[in-house]
Amino acid sequence: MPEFPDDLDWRVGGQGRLRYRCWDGEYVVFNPSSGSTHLIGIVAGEVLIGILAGPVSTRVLGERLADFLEVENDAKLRANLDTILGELDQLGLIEPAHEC
Amino acid sequence: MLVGDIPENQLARRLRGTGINLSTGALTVRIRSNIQTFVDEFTGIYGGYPIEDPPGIDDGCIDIAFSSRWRRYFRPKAQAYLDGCTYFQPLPGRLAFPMLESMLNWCLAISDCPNLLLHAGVVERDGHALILPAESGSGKSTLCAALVARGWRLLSDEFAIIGARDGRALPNPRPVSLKNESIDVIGEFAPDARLSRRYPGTPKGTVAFMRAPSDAVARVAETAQPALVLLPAFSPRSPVELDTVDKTQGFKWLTDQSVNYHALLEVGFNTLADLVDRCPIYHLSYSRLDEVIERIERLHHDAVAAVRAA
Repeated sequence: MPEFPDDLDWRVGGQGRLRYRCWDGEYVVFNPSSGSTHLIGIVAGEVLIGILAGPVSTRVLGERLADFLEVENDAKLRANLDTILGELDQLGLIEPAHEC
Repeated sequence: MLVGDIPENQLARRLRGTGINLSTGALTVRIRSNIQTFVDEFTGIYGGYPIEDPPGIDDGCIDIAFSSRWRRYFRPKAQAYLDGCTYFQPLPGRLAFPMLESMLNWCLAISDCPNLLLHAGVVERDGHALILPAESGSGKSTLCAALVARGWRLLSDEFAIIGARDGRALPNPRPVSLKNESIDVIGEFAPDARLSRRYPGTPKGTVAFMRAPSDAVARVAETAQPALVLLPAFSPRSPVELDTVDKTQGFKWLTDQSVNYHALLEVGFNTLADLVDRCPIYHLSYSRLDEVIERIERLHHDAVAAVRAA
């Protein structure tokens, strides 16, 4: 059972002002809201970059991630995506778009 | 006006009274002291530095004074104050000058500097800076002194100051602090280097100071574009070894060497990220100065060529 609904839209946290660099597939992300800097791997970084462009649903993120990794968009991938979304949310880098 | 332009007796009187505003580049600090040996040593090391006359607004006031009236006569002990506050333990009066150096470093470290401060030596050649961030005991100052003795311009031995607006390295040339064995190493490597007397018994052991060349002090307004970052580590009997540091790890390492990255927030991130974007970063282990300098000069030459091509 997926943790997050398919139609849940995600948006970037930090009041939309995240700063980042990508070097050799690793991301260094600065969140102005918390003043924290985070080191993020390539897969989580790809998810974050997808959300940076504008609010996007869990389902679309799953499709994009499957394309990026060149794997089936199956339950295993979805579980991994949910984990990534949960972690990015916990870091304050993303948030559900319906939150005030 | 330079410190050395003031007649000795007048300088001593001013240091005992209102003080002098010493300018080292990034900082202008008011200095006062009633310790005569300090006055003599201060003049010897800082004679070529400009002072603000009449004094303007300073970044802090450092007093180097006997820790109490009795300590002037009985086992003299000196205390350093920054704006009236003490941060270090009193030391024997003969260590008054090293106390000034520690306090000048401290003054910059806790200042509201709007630029990124990295614990690093910085030297320049061909308009491009080589940054040497390192922890204490890594041989950073020895390498910095050796490069300066071979004609590189000293920007700083203690803090790289990276401009938040343009990413350039700002000079703050002060004496290079040499510790323990490195004093003899530099004495043999560069017999013409102008070293102070030795100060045994400091918290870091015996220290001596290599005076900043007058050219470095005169060109204090000339910033430099960073081109190369080397993380040096002295390793006895080791040949020169270079290992590329990937940029993410380099970024993380440099945040650990910064005293104000977190305080600067987004400005700190942007400034450091731009530095890492522009400069190759290497771990450098070495034991022989001649050998490592030759390698550094080739590496810096290539890095400068890459910057110019970009």
